[in-house]
Amino acid sequence: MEAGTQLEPVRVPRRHPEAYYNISAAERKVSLAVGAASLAYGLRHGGAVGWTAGVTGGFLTQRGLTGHCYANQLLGRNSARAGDRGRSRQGPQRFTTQLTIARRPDELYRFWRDFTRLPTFMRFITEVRPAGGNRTHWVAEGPWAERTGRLEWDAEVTEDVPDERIAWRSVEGSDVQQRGEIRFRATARGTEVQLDLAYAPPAGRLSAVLGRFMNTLSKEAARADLRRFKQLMETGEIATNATTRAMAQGGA
Amino acid sequence: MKAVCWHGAGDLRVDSVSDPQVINPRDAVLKVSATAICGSDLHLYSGFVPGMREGDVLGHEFMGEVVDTGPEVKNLQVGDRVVVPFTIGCGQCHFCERDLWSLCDNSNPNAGVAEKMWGQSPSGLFGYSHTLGGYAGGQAEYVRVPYADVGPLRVPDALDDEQVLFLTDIFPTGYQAAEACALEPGDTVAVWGCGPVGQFAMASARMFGADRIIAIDDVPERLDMAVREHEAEPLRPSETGNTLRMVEALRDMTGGRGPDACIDAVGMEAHGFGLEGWYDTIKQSARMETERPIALRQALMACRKGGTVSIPGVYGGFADKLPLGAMMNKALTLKTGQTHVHRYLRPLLERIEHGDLDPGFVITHRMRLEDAPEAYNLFRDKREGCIKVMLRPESARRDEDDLIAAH
Repeated sequence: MEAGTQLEPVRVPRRHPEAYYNISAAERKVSLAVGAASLAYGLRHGGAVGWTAGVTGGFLTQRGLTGHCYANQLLGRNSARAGDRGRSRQGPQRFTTQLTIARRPDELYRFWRDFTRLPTFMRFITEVRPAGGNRTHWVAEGPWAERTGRLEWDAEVTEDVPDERIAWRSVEGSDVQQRGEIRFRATARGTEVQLDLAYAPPAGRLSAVLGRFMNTLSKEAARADLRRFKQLMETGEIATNATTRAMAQGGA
Repeated sequence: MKAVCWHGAGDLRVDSVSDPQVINPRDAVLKVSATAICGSDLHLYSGFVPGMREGDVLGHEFMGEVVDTGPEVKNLQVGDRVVVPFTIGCGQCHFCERDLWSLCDNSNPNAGVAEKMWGQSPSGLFGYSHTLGGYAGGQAEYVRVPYADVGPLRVPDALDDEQVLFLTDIFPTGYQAAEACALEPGDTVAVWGCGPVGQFAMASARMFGADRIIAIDDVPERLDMAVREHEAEPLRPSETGNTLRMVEALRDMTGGRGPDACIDAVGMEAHGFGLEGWYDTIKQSARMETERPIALRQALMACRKGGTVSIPGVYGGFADKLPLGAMMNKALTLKTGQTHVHRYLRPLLERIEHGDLDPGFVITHRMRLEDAPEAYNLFRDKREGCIKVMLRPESARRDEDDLIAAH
């Protein structure tokens, strides 16, 4: 239930494919209001300022009416989808985040070292299962996988220092190239835990699914996963504001 | 079940929603016997607290009977009658372990949003916006209570709901505000706002040995209550005027020194006079500031050198024209925060049992949960002498009637 990850769907009759609508409902309203005002100003005044206002207003009004933004289209950006920041985000990405956890490093290390437990607190990882040796098989499901299904890859542990650090990396040739590292450091205030995650798109053009997947990645999302790990370690459960078990399982 | 749901600024409805269930092992579900409307609920009602969503269930002052518990809740049994702290604390993080329950690290599932607004996230609260957790509140027939193994406190049957309900928030909140003033014999305390929190701050200031209490408010029945219950000296802002005049008036009442401690029990929707009042009203309406910090300005300006300004009043974001010069140059101490309710539950319950105080004195209206929208309006508009509304779900009333009939 992260606030702000879901926007109300735009309730208008759809005359175009979904991808055509690339601005949010709120943006449409603002575009319409500002556009109409500028247009009215332009029509009433004239002169260089009036003309500029009028033309800008016209574009904004059209943007608001149609729900389609040409600037967004050029940037490959779709602000109707939460978290979509455009093509610029689809290059390699790296996130580092820290939290202090009131448990000993060895307790934290032991829990994390069993990768099959990661899905309990990693939002989009639905399954991690042993795949022989130091390999694990990862399954991810999320908002990117509406039609095309899940993303799956194999990962291997590359570094393992008991009670201190674990590093892993997806094996060569995987669609999703992920490198991760978790570090535990005992301090007077508890164990400082640092999570590093790095993603790289595969060579060549991204598939739509991978593109959407890359767009859901953020430091906030990594931090939210780490926070759920902290909750689990300190309180034995993950905080939820759901009121029914169905709501909690829906993960809405 | 029936629940009081937020549908936008000024729009509350009693809706039918799904009954809550035990989800986590440390949860309990209560059948609510009594709940109340808090002054801070009015900030939600006015739409000044960000992070509210349509359908959110309000209410953070509530008590009731345990009807279900998770496997890890060993201290409570079905049928126990409990009061529940409005701040949600896990009991096991760095902060809870140091009795700073309203700063719990783990209870806010939307901590990322709070971190964006405030740098770090405080605890989750019942029924108080998604920024503070998005938990369904207790103005409902049933409510889910997380970390029920450390939060709810069983209350003795000898005490009725009206005597113990306010342990959930306003009594501890007023008490914490007064405690923070670190009063010494001979001290004078000025309290802005004579609503329920102001009343409990004054009552608590007496417990801590305040010599004089100055009560600042413009609502006659609230001032009367302050004078009657706590022997306070009344001061009416409408007769005094703007901030500078208020400072003068308070100096004139305290031998030219200013009050030793000032308590702002008003918060973000204070009423100002003249240009100052208009300034904040316009800026807040245009969302150019989130607060109308008139009471806080006056407290900072009026407080004696080296004194303490204690702020139980709720603020959410950013305020303009705060006299930081007064704060710094007069070496003031600022104390504030949501209430660490868990810390005060037992000691304050003991005070009630000893008869030091009967918190029920603030209640002016007893209504049905089903009439909550009307109750909010009465409270907001201060009509019919409304100071505090207690609500009972119709179903809880029926239980009581059955009980009486059975005897």
